[in-house]
Amino acid sequence: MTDFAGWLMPLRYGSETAEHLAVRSSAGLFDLSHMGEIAVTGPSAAEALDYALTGWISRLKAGQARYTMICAPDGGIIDDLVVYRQDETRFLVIANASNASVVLAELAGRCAAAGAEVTDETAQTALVAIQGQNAPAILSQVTALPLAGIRYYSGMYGDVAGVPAWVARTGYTGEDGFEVFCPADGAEQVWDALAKAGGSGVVPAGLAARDTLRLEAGMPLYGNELGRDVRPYEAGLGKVVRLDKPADFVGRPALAAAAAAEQEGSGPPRELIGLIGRSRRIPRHGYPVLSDGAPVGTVTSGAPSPTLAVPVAMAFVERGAKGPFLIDVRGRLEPADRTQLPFYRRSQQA
Amino acid sequence: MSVPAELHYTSEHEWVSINGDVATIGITDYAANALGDVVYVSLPAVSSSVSAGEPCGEVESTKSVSDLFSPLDGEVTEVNEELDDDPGLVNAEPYRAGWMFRVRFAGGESALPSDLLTAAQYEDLTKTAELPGGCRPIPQTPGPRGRKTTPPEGDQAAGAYLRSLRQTK
Repeated sequence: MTDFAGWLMPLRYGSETAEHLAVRSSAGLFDLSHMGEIAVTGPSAAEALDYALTGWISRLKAGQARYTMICAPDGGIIDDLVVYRQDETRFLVIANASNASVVLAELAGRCAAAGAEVTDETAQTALVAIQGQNAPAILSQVTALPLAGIRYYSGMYGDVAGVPAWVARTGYTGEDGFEVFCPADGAEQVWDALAKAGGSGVVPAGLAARDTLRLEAGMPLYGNELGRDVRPYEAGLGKVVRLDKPADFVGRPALAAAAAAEQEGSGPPRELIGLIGRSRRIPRHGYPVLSDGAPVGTVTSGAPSPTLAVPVAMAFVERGAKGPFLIDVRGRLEPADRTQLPFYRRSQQA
Repeated sequence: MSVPAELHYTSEHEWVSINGDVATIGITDYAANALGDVVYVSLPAVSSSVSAGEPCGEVESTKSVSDLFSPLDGEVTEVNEELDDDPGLVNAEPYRAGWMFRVRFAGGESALPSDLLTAAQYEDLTKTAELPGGCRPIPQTPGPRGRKTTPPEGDQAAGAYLRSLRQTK
């Protein structure tokens, strides 16, 4: 157990490597109740979120989800978010636990003018995720919801193990799977039912496995790849900034300028790349990256990849740095090869 | 957590087993648990000399890396080469197949460093470092609260979800 943004969270239940591999080969069960859940409601909620966030939220149809960001006026990332349009006038915004109170305050301020209501539901809401190729089969044993009809990045209300829930086909592992939002006092019932339905085909998985799963899938983590000093373009996530939406939004002028600079080829001075370590010493967050003997950047996340059985890392490096790359692993330089992100992509199923 | 009585321990969470003038060294069950899955162990070279309290290797796990210290002065006589292929032995059998290196030291058992701990002393050390148990997340710093929302009408499942949220304290 570990203290995580004020929550006592399981880092691992047993072997984090076994938990990781179980998610890749069958299914894992995650308690993610620390995530921030903020409801934005009212007839003007869509309009309010178009102004507050970088995404074109009003284009979402009821039941759809979007990965998006909330940026500061200078374009710096305050948090990365998933937004669910649960119905015409209710949106559920999922924030990182460490940023939940900042996001809540920002949303309350930014949504006030449009008249939308902003409600923190974090404490009342539990989140149990089941991730992995066997997740649909396991979840289908404890819900009557038509899971095949819930497409990737969409969701639906319904009972799970007798508990009223919002069930979404989203996740942070690079696998198929579902996230089940339910009232906190129903969480144990949902967890136990999924664990029982899955039997030996599902293992409880902690934050350590979640981190290596998202890293292999090339997904950024706030505080590592994302932060107030990072604009979405540097992180390779310019697509979440919808400059084509008609509405004004916080950060628009700064982000438009950054986008224009990128178009002209004078884009951000650094870029996020993937590195595969060629020694067994693991590159970790904060380690310097060198190219041609000169420092060109820093590792943002690094870990031994359980799936690939080699060290993998994401790093911010000077744009155009060619390598060969070396990583300063506690005073000794270790070679690393640049590679395309993500490190792992699941095979699509029919 | 296992702490075999017949071994010596260090405050760096290593164990030391003495056989004549050779000490066998590894990390404790407690340390292996705290590190998580060990993925690589870098060991000192055979025949190199090591000094008490000085780092002589590294233990890499999924989430962290720790220095490996020599608990005494001496010369490395042997390292556990099995760990190269199977570093998970450190987690599986920290006191047996997961041993790390052997050091020949001068002076015999009477010359052991005075800061080595007995099993009982080491167990006390780990108790003060232990993390709280339980597995339900507990919000320790509830965030600021917004205003109450009104449930949308129509959709029954949505109504049930939102009503139950409001009833949850």
